[in-house]
Amino acid sequence: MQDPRLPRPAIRPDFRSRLRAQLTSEAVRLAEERRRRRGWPSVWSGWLRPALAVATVALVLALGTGVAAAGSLPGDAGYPLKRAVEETQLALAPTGQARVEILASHAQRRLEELAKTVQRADRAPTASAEYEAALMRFAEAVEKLRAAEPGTKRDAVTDVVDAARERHLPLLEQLKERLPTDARQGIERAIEQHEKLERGKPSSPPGKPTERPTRTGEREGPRATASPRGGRP
Amino acid sequence: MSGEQPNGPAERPVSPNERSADDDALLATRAASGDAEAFGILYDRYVDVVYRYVYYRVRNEAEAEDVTSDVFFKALRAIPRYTPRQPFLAWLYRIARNSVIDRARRQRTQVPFEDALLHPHADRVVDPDAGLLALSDSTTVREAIGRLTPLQQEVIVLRYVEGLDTRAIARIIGRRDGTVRGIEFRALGALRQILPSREAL
Repeated sequence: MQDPRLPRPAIRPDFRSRLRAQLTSEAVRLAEERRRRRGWPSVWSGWLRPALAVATVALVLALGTGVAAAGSLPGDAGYPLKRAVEETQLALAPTGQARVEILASHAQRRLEELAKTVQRADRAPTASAEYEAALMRFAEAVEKLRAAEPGTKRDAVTDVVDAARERHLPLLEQLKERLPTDARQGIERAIEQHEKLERGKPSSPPGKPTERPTRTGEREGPRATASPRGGRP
Repeated sequence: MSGEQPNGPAERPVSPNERSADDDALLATRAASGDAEAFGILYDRYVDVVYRYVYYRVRNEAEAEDVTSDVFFKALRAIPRYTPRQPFLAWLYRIARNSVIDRARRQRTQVPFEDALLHPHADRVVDPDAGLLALSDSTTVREAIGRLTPLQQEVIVLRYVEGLDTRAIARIIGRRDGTVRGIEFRALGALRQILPSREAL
């Protein structure tokens, strides 16, 4: 039998050279990438892999317990986790104003926890102290920002202060009557702190008297003061 | 120590193919360690062979270019895992074979084998008067070739396109010489069943 040959299709020269150029370029890129990774394998097989495994387990547990922690009260097992999450949130605040807003929400949360302790007299003093501390941090951040920021930012902070006061004071008045004596003292100090914040507001534009916010139908309290920005219904 | 091994095998002449294999292994080692030009040399050496092989398996110029490109990019990424126990070309063929199979799976269509004869550059042939080319107009032959198994097609391409001998094909496809002869024999036998001019093969 003879040795026949099938046709030998030739590759297009431009494709040939273009592919070569692409491959050479890719080879350089891969070599660079491999050089960069060279340090990783020993670390990866050493401490990094177990460390990541532990971190992953911790994260899963944290996420699982995080849900439970969100509703926890001072003294509960999940409470420290809840506070740790809040601290992380605070640490990530991009601006002073954002920090004030976050601290306001934390203070609000402490107040809600305090309200829940009406049925748990043993937790009330701790919850009261937690709320007081949160309010103090909030007040400090507000003062700091007021001292540093001019104009519109001061107004924005004042809005946050007003909103916090409007939400907190009515509830504090109610709680004062219902909580044990040792918790009540903390509430008194908190109310004073709110007043201090109120007094520290920028001077009001003329003709805009304000009053301490009250819930509809509630009598005006003795601490009603003039507010430069006006009260909220 | 004299450096001689009196009880070892006598030194025999090294064939050009073996020199090429050693050279390939060296280039592959260099390429694996990041030498782009070493890979470029391997590319220059084998791109035509791979292209023709792929072309005969996909039978379409654009597809052949795509797959050839795919083969060499895969080879580039996999070259740190290449071991010189097998010839570099055999390794490339294996990548090419898998690429063709993957592509066929994706597309679920294959162009008839004999359409390769209609390649735009098919005039650049070796032995243009050879029997199979002369028979390329035969629908019967086309159908017969289309029925060959992928392995038979590989052997036919390596034998009748690349002009490799049985031993070289055996190394490439990882079979024994006798097996390759058997595959070729059966492939030609299948073709003979339907060739109008049997003496061509």
